[in-house]
Amino acid sequence: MKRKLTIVLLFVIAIAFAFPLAAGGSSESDEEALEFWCYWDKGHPNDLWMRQIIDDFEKETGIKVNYSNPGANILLSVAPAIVDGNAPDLIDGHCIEMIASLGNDGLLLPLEDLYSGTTWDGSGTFESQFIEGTTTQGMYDGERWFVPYCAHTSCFHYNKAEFEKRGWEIPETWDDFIAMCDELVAEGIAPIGLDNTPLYNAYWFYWFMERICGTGAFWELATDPTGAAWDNPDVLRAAQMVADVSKYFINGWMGNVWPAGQIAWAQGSAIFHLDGSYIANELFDKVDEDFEFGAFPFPAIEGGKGDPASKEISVMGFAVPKDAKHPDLAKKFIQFALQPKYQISMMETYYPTTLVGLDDEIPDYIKDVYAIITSDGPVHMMYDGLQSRGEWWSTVFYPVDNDLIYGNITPEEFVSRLKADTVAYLNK
Amino acid sequence: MSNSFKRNKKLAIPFLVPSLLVYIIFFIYPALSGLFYSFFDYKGFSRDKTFIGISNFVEALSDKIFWSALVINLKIMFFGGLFIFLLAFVFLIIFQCIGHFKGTIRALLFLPNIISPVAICILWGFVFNQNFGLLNNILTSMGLENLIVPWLDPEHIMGSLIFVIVWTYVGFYFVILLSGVSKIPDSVYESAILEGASPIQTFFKITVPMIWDVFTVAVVYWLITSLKMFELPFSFTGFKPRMEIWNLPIYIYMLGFGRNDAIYRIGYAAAIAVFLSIIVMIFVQISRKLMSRESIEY
Repeated sequence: MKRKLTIVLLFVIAIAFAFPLAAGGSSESDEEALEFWCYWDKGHPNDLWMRQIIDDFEKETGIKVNYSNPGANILLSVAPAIVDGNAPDLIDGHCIEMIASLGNDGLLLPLEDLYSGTTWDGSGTFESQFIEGTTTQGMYDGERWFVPYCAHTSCFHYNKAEFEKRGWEIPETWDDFIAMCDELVAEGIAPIGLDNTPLYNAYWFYWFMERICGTGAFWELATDPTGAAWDNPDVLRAAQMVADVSKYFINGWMGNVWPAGQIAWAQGSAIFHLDGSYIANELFDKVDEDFEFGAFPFPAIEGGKGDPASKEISVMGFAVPKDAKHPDLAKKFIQFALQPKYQISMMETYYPTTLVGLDDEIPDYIKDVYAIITSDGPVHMMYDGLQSRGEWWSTVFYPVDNDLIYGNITPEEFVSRLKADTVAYLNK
Repeated sequence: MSNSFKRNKKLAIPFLVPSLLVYIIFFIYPALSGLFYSFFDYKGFSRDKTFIGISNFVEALSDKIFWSALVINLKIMFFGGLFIFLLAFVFLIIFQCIGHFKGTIRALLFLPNIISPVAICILWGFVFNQNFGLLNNILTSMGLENLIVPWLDPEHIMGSLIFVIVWTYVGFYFVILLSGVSKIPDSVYESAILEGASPIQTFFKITVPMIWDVFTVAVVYWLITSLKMFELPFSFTGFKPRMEIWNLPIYIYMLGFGRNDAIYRIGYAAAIAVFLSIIVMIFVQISRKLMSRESIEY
């Protein structure tokens, strides 16, 4: 009896352990397969787009791709895999998120050899096909580890049909923009529609800093351990402008939970919406037939030291973990995926391309944001790159920025509180 | 001790081992790992970590967000618990008084528990929406425009969240309490009715004392649930939880993983998780002491 029980017990334990090993362990057959973990959730238009590329890649090269969708929280899956020595061969997602998690610690493979190689059809160098400023955001020790497949920018979005109806032109300066807002207020129309999310609330101070103080000034505020950078009167001016612009926000905006605010804007409850260029992707099925997506850059501010032509570019794309088992396959796939024909099909999902030479292929709904991304002018990262300093950004800046935009504190209190909190944070 | 009992005890071991293994692998080991990492400066993306002793715990004590998140936890625990048990008892009284549709009422009250918290948040997001939400539309149609507010703005969001938590959980605790009531023999109630006791008297003099042990377990379970509640508050304000409702589990998530602007301080997050575990244990012990009564046997 005892022996039988022992055998049963051992059998149960063996089965229990065999299942996970069979599911997660590697086998002979997948040794030459590319392990690709994707940012896009299963069923998302970009997931379908990626699956098409994979199908074509497998047919053309005979290389198998093991494709899975950890989704937007991909880095939560990648972290333990890397620690356990089971890093995937290829991952994709937002460059800024990879900088903070993997890039800054040198955990991603340099891809300079890929950039110096040729395009898939061999018609030119791989590097020369990219829009300027899109390939240099993910760097470690002077080497690039990121290949972008789409570029975004934050800007004002509007309905072109509405502008045509009013005979309006794109505002060149902040004063022009405020004059338009005042006109709308006089008509009883809300000028700016938005959601109450710290990430979006932060757009305002960031853009005012960008235009008033210039690229790098916001970064300096977050990294100056003495706090002296906060004493610049222009910082107070930027804070004051946040307080001033909030009176043009749609009534009750603080109760808008994403995506309620952007939907309200899309349905005509407000005229302007400051957001990323992915907005067309999120709202294409929520606008009326006559709605025409338009976008213009954050206007120049009189007396501002920032270059009014300075544009934000944030990129999404591919990276290869340093411990990937098949880095060459990963590079081959990246080279394949960055063919113009796939960039053209990606733009059908409302995401702007990172490649040059596709001007004739840009769909109407992203023409304006593409124009911003490819315009002449210096490039800066979204929020001046401060999302890569996640702790300061989330726990020091957000609470005080929210208080300012909610009207709970004055611009002076905003500056003094953030100065004190930043100094305390950087010297802890 | 008889031989057969000893033999049965031995027989139980092989049946217990698999579940014990699962418990050790999926609970004891991760819990001890969490404690281990709380003494390190650890990012989570490599094996590199630096031992920093109790620095993470000291830092938490002077962390403003830690304390504000704890206050959110306590608000959910006290106010949520108060309304959940108050309503659960009200439903119990009603349930004891009615003769029909008991099964339907029980099923309806329990229904929110089988819905995904994310779906619940989307549903209530539509109800609370100030522009096209059901709640404000109902208030408008009733001529109560003066009661209309942005239910999800910083001032009202906590109350709205607690309302949704109560809506979600009241059915669950009602069913737990009901299971205690079902064990009370009918003869006890019949005697009370013969003695001329009213339904209210019956409830307070018989039902409540006789289900006290079940109530105690339910309260303890609520304390644990409320203190480690994550999905509902996390999903309540869209893709990124607003800071006004960051409780400790959300803060732990944000510190360890997060999204868009993640912090990646696994060590510090683990230290706060240790604090949270201690807080849960303290509240459970306090509640057990406060609610201990001699059990009634029947």
